Amino acid sequence: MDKGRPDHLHGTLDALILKALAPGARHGYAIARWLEETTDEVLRIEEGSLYPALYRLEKRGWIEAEWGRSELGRRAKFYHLTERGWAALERETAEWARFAAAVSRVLLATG
Amino acid sequence: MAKRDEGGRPRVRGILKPSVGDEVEEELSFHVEMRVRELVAEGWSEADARAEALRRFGDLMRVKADCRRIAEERERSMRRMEFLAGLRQDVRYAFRQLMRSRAFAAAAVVMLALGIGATTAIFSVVDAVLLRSLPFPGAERLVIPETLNLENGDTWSVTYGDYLDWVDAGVFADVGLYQSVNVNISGGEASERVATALITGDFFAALGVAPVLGRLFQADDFVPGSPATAILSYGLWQRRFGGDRGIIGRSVRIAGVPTEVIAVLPRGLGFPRDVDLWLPLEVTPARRAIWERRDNFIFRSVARLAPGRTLEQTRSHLATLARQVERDHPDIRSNVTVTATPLGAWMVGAELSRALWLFLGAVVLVLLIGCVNVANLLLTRAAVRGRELAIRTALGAGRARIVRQLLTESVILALIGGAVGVAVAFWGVRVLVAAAPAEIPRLEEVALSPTALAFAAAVSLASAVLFGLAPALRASRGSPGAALGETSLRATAGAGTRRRRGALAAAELALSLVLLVAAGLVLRSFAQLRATDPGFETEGLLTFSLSLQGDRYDPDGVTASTFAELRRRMEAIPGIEKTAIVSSLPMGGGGFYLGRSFLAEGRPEPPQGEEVSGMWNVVSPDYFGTMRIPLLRGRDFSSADGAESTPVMIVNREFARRMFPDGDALGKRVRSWRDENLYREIVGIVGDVRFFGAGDEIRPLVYVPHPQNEWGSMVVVVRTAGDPMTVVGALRDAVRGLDPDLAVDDVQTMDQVFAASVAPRRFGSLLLGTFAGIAVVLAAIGIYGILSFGVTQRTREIGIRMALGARREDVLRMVVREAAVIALVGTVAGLAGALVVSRLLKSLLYQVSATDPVTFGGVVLLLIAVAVAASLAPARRAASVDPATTLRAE
Repeated sequence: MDKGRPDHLHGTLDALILKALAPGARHGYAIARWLEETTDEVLRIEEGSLYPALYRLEKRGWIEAEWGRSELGRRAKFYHLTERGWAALERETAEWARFAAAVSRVLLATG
Repeated sequence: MAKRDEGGRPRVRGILKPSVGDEVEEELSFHVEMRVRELVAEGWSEADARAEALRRFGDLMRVKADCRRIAEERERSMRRMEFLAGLRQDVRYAFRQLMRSRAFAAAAVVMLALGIGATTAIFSVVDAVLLRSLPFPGAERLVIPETLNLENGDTWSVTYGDYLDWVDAGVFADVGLYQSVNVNISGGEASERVATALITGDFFAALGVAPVLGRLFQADDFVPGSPATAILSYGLWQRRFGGDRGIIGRSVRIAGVPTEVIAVLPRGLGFPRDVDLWLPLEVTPARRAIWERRDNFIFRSVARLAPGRTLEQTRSHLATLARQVERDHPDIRSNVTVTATPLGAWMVGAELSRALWLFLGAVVLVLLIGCVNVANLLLTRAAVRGRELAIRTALGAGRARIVRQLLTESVILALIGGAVGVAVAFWGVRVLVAAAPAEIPRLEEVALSPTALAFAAAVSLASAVLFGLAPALRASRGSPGAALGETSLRATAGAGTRRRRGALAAAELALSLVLLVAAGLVLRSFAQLRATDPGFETEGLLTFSLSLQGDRYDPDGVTASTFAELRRRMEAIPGIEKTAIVSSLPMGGGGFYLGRSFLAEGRPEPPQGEEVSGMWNVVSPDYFGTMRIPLLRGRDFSSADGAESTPVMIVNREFARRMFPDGDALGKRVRSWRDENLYREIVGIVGDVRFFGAGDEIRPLVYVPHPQNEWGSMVVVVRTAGDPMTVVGALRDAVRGLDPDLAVDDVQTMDQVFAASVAPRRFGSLLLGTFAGIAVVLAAIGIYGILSFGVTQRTREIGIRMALGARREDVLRMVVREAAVIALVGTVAGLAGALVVSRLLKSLLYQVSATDPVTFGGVVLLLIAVAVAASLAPARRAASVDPATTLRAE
C-alpha cells in the first residue's frame, strides 16, 4: 500500500488524527495545522500523506465526513469521530502509553 | 449502518453527490489553497507561496490516486453491505409474510414442487440419455459407418469389402468391425449365454478403451487356429468371477472351447449395448471370400474421425468410395451409399430423442400452468395487500424497493418449492426408471446428478421471475393515495384487472388443452396397439434362446437331431402341450432376423428394388400349431422334411399375395437367388403375424424346415397348459441333461414379449397422461380461484345490481358467462397450439391421425366441462349475495 513506512509510525499517524478530531469536527488542513502546532513540528510528515490516512480511517468506520463551510466560507470536508473512532482513540492511547512506558523504562534506566 | 438505510437520505444524497474523483480534487485543492493563503499572509509572493505549498504537500498526483482508490473501495463495500442488509431485511420480512398466510404459501409450494419436481425428473432422463457424453475419450469424434439406401433413407449394417476400402483410403483414424452373437460360457456352477461381440483388431483402438486388467487382443489372437482368447466386461467379471483379479490367464469354457481370459474392460462402457464378452473375429480365407461380397451386410462398424476431418468431410469421402462400389457392382449396389452417424445419436436414435424432448416440453407446460396459478395467487394477495404496500410506499419505500421485496417473496417461495421439488424428483426418477422401456440406452445411469440439481435450482429461479415479476410490477404501481382510498371507495374491480386474470385462466386452459390432446392421441394409439391381433395366441406361451456351440455340433445333422431330441424331452414334461423351435420370434421377441429377396420359377431377375423380399424363418415341425398361427392351405412341415428330401417352404398369406397376385401359390417353386439359390416348393400357406412388434406392418415371411437349414442359434417356444413360468425349472434340467455346456437364455413369456413391444407407447401414454392429469387439476384450481376471487371483489357490485332488480339467475349467468368466455378463448388458443404439437407426436402415434377428431372433440368438451364446473361454486355464491347485508357492510 504505502511505501515501506514502519507500521508503528503508520499507527501513530492514525492515533494522532483521531486525537486531532477529539475536540470536534475538523477539515484536513485544520488537522495538518494542529499536528504542526501540537508536535512543534517534531513529527515532520508530508502533508499529502495525511489524506490517504483520513480516507482509510473513514473506510474503517472510525471517522465520518460531511461537507460544510470553512471559516473563510469555502466548501470543505469536515471529519468527526464515530463511536468506534472514540473507542479506537482510547485503545490506541492506552497502547501508546504502555509502549512509551516500556521504551522509557529501558532507555532511561540507569546502570 | 442499518440505521442509515431506513431514512430516505442516503438515496437522495446518492443522486446529488458528485463523483469520488471530484470530491478528492476539491478537498486537496482546498488544503493547498489554505496553505498558499497562509504563506502569502506571512509575506511570501503568490507564486513562491504556491510552489512552497505544493512542495510541502508532496506527491499530489499519487495522494490523489490513493485517496480515490480508498474512497472507491469504501463506496463499493458500503453498497454491498447496504444490499446485504436490505436483502436480510427482505428475507426476514418475506418469511413473516409467508408465515402469516400459510395456506397461500402451502398451495404455492405444492404447485411449484409438482412442476419443478416433474421437470427435474424428466430432465434427469434427458441428461443421462441425450446430453451426458459417452465414457470414451473424445467420444464426440466417434461415429457409426452405415449403409444407406438413397431411395427410402433406410440404414443398415456394412460389408467387409467396404471396411477394407475405408482402411485403404485412410478415411478414419481407426475403424473397427464387430458382429453381435450369443455365446455359451460353461464350467463352474452353471452355464450362461452372454451377448458377445466378435471384433477386429482396431475396434478398441477406435473406441480408445484401455483394459483395467490384462492386455487387449494382438495380431496373434486373430490368426485362425491360434489359442482362443477372450476379454470380459467389468459386469461379467464381477457377476460370474466375483471380481477375482487372478482371472487373467485362466482358462474358461467359451462356446465349448477352453479359452484364455486376457483382459477385463472398465465398468459401464455401454457400447455395444449389453455386450459382456469380446472375442477376436478370425478371418479365414474361406470366410473372407464370402464376407467380401458387396451385398453381404453382416458387420457393424465403429470408427474415430481422422484428425482434422469433420463429419461432413468424412461422409463425402465415404460417399465417394461407395460410388465406386456402385459402379463396380451395379446389380447389387445401385442407389446404395455409405454414411456415418455420431455414436451418441446412433445409440439413442432420432425417434427416442424426439420423444424425450417432447416429454420435457410437456412437463415444462405443467410447470408453466403451475406458475400461472401461483402468479394468480400472488395477484390475489397483492389485491389484499394493496393497503400494506400503499402504507409502505407512503412511508418512503421506492418502487424498486417494493418490487425487490415482492420478488424476494417469490424467490423464497420458488426455492422452497424447488427443495420440495427435488424430493419429488428423487422419487419421480425412480418411478421413471422402473416404468421406462428397456430400449432406452443408459437408463441405469439416470439419477439426480449435480447437473439435474443445478437445473432444478435454475428452473426454480426462472419460475420465480416468471410468476413473481408481473404481480410485483403491478402491485408496486399506482399512487399510495389512490390505493389507500381504493379499498373503501371502489365498488367494482377494475375491468382491466379482471381481463388480465381472465387471460391467465385462459392461458392455463390452453396449455392443458395442448397436453390433453397430446396425451389423448398417444393413449388412443396405445389402445389401438393393444387391440391389434398379433396373428397368434400369446397366452400360455414360453420362449427361450438356445445356441448349440462346440465341436460336437459340427457334423451335418447333429444340430437338427439335437433340437429334435430336446423337443421330445420337453414334450415329456407334464404341463407342456407342444414345443417348436424358430430362428426369430414374431413381435420382435428375439432371435436372428434375416431378410432375403425371392424369385418364382420361370421369371426373369427383376431390377433392384422391385423384387419380392421376405423375412427368412427357420422352424421345426409343429411351429404353427404351437404358436396357433392358422394353417390356411397345404400342410405343415413334418419329420419327413429332412436334409435329403425335397426342399420345401411355407409362406405367409402376405408373401403369397405379393409373389402370386393372381394365382395359387401352393405347389409353386421359389428361390432366394442371391443367397441360397435353391428352388423350394411351397407346401403350405399360413396366417400373417406382426413380426417386429405390435405396431408393425404386415410383412411377407417365409418358413423353411430346420433340418434343411441347420442353424445352431434358435428360439424355443413352448405351449403350456397352465402358467408358463412353472415349467422353467424342468426346461433348464432338460437342456442341461442334453449338454451341460448349453445355457438357457432370454426366458420370457409371449405376453411379456407383447408387453415389451408396446412398452414405448405405454411409457409415452403414462407420462403424457400423468402430466395432462396434473395440468387439468391445476387449471381447474386456477379457474376456480380466479372466478371465486372475482366474485369476492364484486360482492358490492352484485349487491347493487340485485338491489336494482337483477334476479339470481342473472347473477348466476353473469359469472358462468365469464367462465364461458375464458373457456372459449382458452380452447381456441389451445387448439392452435395442439395442432402444432400433435404433428411432433407422429412417431408415437399408431393408427390415429395427428388431428384425430375424436380426441380433439373429447378434449374440448372435457375442458369446457371443467371450466363450467369450476365456475359453479363461485356463481352460486354470487347468486346468494344478500344485497342488504353487503351494502351495509362497507
